[in-house]
Amino acid sequence: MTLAHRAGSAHDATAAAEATISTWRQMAGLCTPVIGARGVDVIFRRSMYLTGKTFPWLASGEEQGGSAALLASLKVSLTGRDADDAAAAGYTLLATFLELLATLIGESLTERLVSPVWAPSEQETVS
Amino acid sequence: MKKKGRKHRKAATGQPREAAESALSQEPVVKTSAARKSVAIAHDPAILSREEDADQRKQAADLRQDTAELRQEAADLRQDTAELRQEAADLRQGSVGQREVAADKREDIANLRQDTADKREDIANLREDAADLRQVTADLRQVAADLRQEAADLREETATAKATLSASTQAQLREANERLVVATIQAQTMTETAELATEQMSYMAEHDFLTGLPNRALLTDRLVQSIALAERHGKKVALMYLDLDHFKHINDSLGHAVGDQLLQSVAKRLQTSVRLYDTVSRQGGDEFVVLLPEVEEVQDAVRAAKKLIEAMAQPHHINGQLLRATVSIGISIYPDDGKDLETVVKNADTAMYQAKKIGRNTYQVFIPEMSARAVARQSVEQALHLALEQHKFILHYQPKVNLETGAITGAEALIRMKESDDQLVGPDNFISIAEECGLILPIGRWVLREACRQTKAWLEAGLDIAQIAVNVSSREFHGKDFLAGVMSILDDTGLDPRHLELEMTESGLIQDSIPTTAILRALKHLGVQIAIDDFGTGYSSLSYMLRFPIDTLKIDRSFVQTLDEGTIDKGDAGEAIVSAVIAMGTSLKQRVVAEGIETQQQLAFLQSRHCAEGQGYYFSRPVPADEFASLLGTTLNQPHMII
Repeated sequence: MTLAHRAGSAHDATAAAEATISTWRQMAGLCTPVIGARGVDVIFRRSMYLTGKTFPWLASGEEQGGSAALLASLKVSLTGRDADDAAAAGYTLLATFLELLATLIGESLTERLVSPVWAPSEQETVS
Repeated sequence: MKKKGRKHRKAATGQPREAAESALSQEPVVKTSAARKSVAIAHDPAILSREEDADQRKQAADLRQDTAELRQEAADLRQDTAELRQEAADLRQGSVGQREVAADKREDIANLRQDTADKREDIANLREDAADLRQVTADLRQVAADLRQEAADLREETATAKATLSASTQAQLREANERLVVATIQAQTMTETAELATEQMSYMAEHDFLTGLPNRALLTDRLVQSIALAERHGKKVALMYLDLDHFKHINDSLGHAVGDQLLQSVAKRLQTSVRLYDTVSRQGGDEFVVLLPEVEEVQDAVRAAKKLIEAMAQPHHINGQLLRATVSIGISIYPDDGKDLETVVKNADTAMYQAKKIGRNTYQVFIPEMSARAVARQSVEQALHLALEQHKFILHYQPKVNLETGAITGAEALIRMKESDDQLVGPDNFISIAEECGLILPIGRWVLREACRQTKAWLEAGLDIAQIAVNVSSREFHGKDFLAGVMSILDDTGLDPRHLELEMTESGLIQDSIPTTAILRALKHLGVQIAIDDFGTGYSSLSYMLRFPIDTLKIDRSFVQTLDEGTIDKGDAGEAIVSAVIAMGTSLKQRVVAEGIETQQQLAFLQSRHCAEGQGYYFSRPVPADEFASLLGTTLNQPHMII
């Protein structure tokens, strides 16, 4: 399922933000048994930082506090933009997360892990 | 052969040969008895007949035949017997050999039997061994079976243990993965940080921290490249050395923070006023260098310099203030003004100093004559170093006079430098250079120490001198450990601080006002007097008059000199300024000292305005210590004899 599918027909930043966060939560749920909650968190923060280079308005990932605070910050950042910006940043963030994960545990396992929530076509686009 | 067959059959029955022979001998006996009986019957006259005769004859014939046959058979038997005997003999003979052979055979057989017995024993032993081995094998099989059982038991136990540990193992694996992921990401972050730091260091090594402009190192690199390109294309390279005019005053009066912002603004403006491929660099302080590669002639550089001066004419908006910062520019051309990088830079610097000298906010193109002046400046710097090392500085003292009574109230210590021919060089010829090259600090320290030492000596000699005034440059005052240095000198010389007055210019004081106030108050606390030198010429406001503990205002000589007749317009203004300063000083209960009094008219005006003190050639030039000592105790209300 793609982000666009998750966002549904509503073409607005809030839908993009919710789709991004929803997808991320599912990915985190699938990855946590393998790399632990801290592992997921640290990769996500790193993804935020790297994505921030392309989208400087995005939360930097250096925020203190737990994942909840980080996601809240991400949501604020995304909903504060227009729909296209929010969708592009959300997609780039998730793709960056998967790229990083693949460098750590291999592409095959990454695909197996996230295939229930991330469309292969999107992964192909990422790589 | 038939008979032989019978005989052989009997022999074959195994009957002894004598019995057979006996049988042969008895059979004809039986048949003869029967024949005799038949003959007895036939001879009976009653019953005998011819048939009976025939029968008898026949029977006799048969008997004969039988007898012949028997005889033949007996012969045959004898023959057979002989043959048998022969055979027996042969057999006996053969039997002997055979017995020998048999004996051998028996021996062999015995041996064989022995061997066989041995073999059997061996076989028995082997069988026994085999039995033992079978037993061992059986035992081993049992052990193997036991081991298999144990292995099976272990597998079962392991499987059980694995099942038991599965949950904790998964947790440990997850934790291990987690740590690896965290460590890897942290390593990535640290690597990126290190790379970024390297890039920043590389950037900082080539750029000015404050303005972001290329620094001296990068400029040098680009200049080398430009010179190489210019040589290849037969063109020239222009170098412009820029220095902000009176930037020090801005820095001193408004603080370094504002000064830094102004420098940043100037840097931006310079960059927007040149071509893209020109280089604007900051050399340090308020000095900039602009590199113009591939110019055709010096006029190209002149046009660029004019453009820069024009751009700088517009004020800068800094912290809500409009600040103006003009520039003086020196231009040097490669290869016309130098064949190497160092010479081109040095000559542009020299030309810039020339632009400063002719009035600032302008440019000068380097000409060889300028170099001679630069050389002269360099020689002054060397002379200063030498004077410090060889104690070639001396102090002269100019009296300060009570304008009402003519009494000497004190003196201003003024430095002189002895040249090799003992000619004295005044401070105007070297102080500015000393400030530029930093020698002002050791020179100023020497002046203060020598003035304090001399004053203490006069006081100990019973001479009455109220105060000795020593000039302190801004660089000294704001230098490291200035206050500690003053205290140290006062301690060393034993001079009462109340006899010391430090003279500073307005711009020298108005800088970082909080530290300035602290230093001044500390000096005041010691008892040291503070005087403002050249009052009215500085770039400052009057507010510091309230903030700083100032004891004395010294009216600048430029105002006093306007008090002469013949300078009507300026004179009026000068009189007004002088009158105002005297009035202000009086109101603030500060001493007012007029500098540069050279004429009676000036003195008269100052006296009319109740200016308390003054100094100048009208009373006395600065004189050596011994001459000043002789003046002490006298009055100087008339032009001094030594003038």
